[in-house]
This record gives sequence, structure tokens and C-alpha cells, in this order.
Amino acid sequence: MMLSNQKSDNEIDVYDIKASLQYTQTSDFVYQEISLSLPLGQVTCLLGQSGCGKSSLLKQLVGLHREAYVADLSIQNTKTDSLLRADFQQNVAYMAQQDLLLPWLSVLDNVLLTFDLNRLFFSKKSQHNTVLKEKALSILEQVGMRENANSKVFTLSGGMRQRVALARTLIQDKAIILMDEPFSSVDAITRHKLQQLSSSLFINKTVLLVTHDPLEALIMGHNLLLFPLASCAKSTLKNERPSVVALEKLPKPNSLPPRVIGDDLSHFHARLMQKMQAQL
Amino acid sequence: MSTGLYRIFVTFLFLLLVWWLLVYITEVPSFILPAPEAVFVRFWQLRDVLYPHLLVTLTEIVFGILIGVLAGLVFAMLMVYFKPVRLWLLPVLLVSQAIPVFAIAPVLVLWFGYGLVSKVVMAAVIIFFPILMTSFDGLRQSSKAYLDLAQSMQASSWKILLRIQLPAALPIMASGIRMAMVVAPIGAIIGEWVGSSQGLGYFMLYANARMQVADMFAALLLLCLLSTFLYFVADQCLKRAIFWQQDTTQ
Repeated sequence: MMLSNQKSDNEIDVYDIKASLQYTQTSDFVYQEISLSLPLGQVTCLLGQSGCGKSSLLKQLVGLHREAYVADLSIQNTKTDSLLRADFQQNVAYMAQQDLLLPWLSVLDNVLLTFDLNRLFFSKKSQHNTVLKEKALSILEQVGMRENANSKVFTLSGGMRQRVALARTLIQDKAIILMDEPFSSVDAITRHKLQQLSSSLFINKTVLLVTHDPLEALIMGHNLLLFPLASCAKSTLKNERPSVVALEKLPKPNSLPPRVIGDDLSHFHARLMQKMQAQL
Repeated sequence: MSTGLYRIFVTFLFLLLVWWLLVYITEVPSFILPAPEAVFVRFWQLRDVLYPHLLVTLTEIVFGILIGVLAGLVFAMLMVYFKPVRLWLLPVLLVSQAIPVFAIAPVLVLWFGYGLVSKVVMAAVIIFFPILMTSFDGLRQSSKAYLDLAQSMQASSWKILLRIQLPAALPIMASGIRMAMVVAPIGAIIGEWVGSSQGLGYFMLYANARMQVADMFAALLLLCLLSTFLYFVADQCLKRAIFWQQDTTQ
């Protein structure tokens, strides 16, 4: 299968992405002709100032086209050199900043939401399907929420809710996971736990994680990219076709994620902070 | 709950006392305002007479609410779903609300006859707009982030409407439904006033014409109890249906 991957010694399969996004009404660009590569089976962290358009890029990759935008997107696989956009978007699971759990469903039903939304009318409800239920319970087990499977969502704490959201993302069994600052709303300790947990669960998944926290990127990322500021991501002359701007790769430790916070990491942390401040 | 009942009881007694004092201080003739005890006596004496009228009015109200809520909901869904419907229909509906429902009651009776149907239509028409607007607002205001999530799961827009937007709209729709519960009886009663041969509205008009004001008040009392009961039932059902919303006024 195209999306399965084995990490060979020196050459990793990569998605090459080129994207532009433009407001329909004003024809202003959110970003123009930016390019980035996503190595398959690895976690890529996308750092950037808030408001620079990194969330928009993520949504564009998920395929959430709004009427307000003109979107231009191409996704290629370096090895097969084929256009993959539809294929890519079929294989995406999306996790947003908010947990987005539906309050009228139990924890289990929230995890099963994706099956429920794609269920045909008159077919068996997914919560009565033993195979799916077992699958959901085992994933809830992995995120440490099995005991709460039948709880009402509003009884859970913020960290627990994010765990359920993580389970809901994982159960979709997609090769690609796109995450938009998923742990930014929980406290530092919970965040650290969630980072370690999700890192351990993302084996062989291609992950693009948008974050504004350099430390989070350093803990979780195989690769770190810096999103340019809005003013740099678009050309000033409207008629001129701009050259493609590749996102800058940021320095990172040689060790593999999930990395432990320590002296090594704080050295890189300081460097990343400098880089990001220099953007302003 | 028990304190709620206690409050209702105290309020009721207080109002009775005011009524009683009013009658005895002003010595108003009983064909203008009968004393409360006279009304209660008539209420009890007329229980077998009032009962069939109550059933008729209740049927009109219940069917009116069912049809009004369903129609309001369907139109709201169409308006959310199809932009042309929203753009063309909404102004028409807004303007239609400028026509007083009471003014078209005779026409409705003319069109739908003296029987049940014209009253059901009346009750449905009078609640249609509050239901439509609250449903429309509720469906429209569902958070974009939830829709994004559902879309990322490749869900059809029909599924998103049923599984996400509709439940999410329920708290806002609930206000419309609660309002409908107390407004729908007005529609049914107006319908009965314009032309009917049974129902509490008919009975009130009949008693009024014969100067049997105590009888009229007895029917009015029954109507109040009916409306309150309907509201209470709806409120309890809605509270159970929207269990995830916390009541912050408590």
C-alpha cells in the first residue's frame, strides 16, 4: 500500500506539499506558494506565531474548504511521484484545539462518532456492534479511560476530555493525523502526560502537529518546521508569480521522540525561542 | 420540588385571597365578577359537562403543537440547508407575521370548517413562527469547529445535520417549544370563538352570552390548569432531553 511505510536507512518516503490560500473577496493571500514535506511515519511539528496561518494550512490539508477562500493545494509523494490529494485527504484524521466532544453522547459513543456518522440508515448502531465496541474499549484502555467508557462527557476534566478526543482520533485508523494545538488548553502536567502518551501511540503514523510551544515541538517532533509570518508568506506584487517558499527546518536534537525535558532540550528550546522572536 | 409545590400553593392562595377581598370589598355583582367559592362550586358541579369540552380543546392544542413544531423544524432545516430557501422564504415569513393571526381566524374557519381542523391549524399557525426562528437560530449557531470535525470524518451534510446540528440546537429550540406550550392554547381558543360547537372556548362564549359568568370562570380556570400542565410536561421532557446543559440559575 502506498501509505504504509518502512523507515529505510537513508531514504524516507515523503509527502511534498505545496499550498496557497487566498480570501475570495479581497484576493489577499493568507499564505502563498509555501511548501513543506511530511516524512511518512514521523511526527512533524509546525511552529509559528499565532495568527500566521498555520491552522488554516492544517484545515486546508484536511480538506475543509470554506466558501471564503480560494485554495490551491498539491500533494505529491516523492517515491511514486503521483498526485495524491484525494488519497491523502481520505486518510486523514483531524484533532482540533478544543476536544469537541458531543455532550449528549457518552464517552464510548463519542469515540465511536466516526462510525456513527458514516453508518447507513437502518444499519446497526455502532454502539451495538460488538467488534467496534471492543475496538473502542481497547483504545480507551490505551489512553487510560476505559473505566470512564460509560461516563457522561460533562463529568470529565479537561485532560480526560482530551484523552477521549485522542481515542476518537486514533480509532479512525488513518495513516495521517493532523493536529491543531491539541494540548494547549490543559495544564502543564497534564499536557506533558498527554504528549508522552500520544507520542507512544503515534508509531508509524504520519503526524503534522501545529503548535506555538517550542517545547512541545521538541518533545514530540521528528522534524520541526517554522511557519513564516504572514507578511513573508505572500508577495507584495499581486501580479508577480512568487517563488515557492519552503518552510524553514529548525534545529533539533538527534534523539528520537518522545524526548525527555532536560539540559539538552533546554539548549534547543532557547535556540528556537530566539528564532521565533527574530521573526517579529 | 416540594419547595416548588409549596411556592405554587402559597401564590395560588394569595391570588385567591386578593380575588375574594376584591369581590367582598367592592360588592361587585356576581354577573360581573363572581366570588372564588362560587366559581369552585360551579367548577365541581359542571365537571361532567366541562370534561368533553376539555378533551376537544386538548386534542386541538396537542395536534396544533405537533404540527406547528414539526412544520417549524422542517422549514428551519430547509432554510439552514438551502441558501435560496433562506433568501427567498425568510422575508416572506417575516412579512406574514405582520398579519395578526386573530384577523385571519374567520378565514381559517371558512377554509377548514367548524370542526377540529380549523382550530388545529390556528394553534399550529400561532406557534409556527417562534418555533421556526428558535430552530433556525439554534441550527445556524452550531459551532464551526464541530462541523469541521464531522467533515474530516467524511460525514454527509445530512448526517451532520441530524447527528450534530440538531442535538446542538435543542437548548435554543427548547425556548421556542416552551413558548409554544403557552401560546398554542390561545390559538385553539380563538379558533373556537370564531366558530365551533364544542371546546372550552365555545363553552366560555356560550356561558358569557347567558350571563353565567361563574361558569365562564370555571372554564377559564380549567383552561389555565390545562396550559400550566402542558407547560410543566414539556418543561420536564425538555430538561431530561437536554441533560447536559446545566441550569446556572439554581
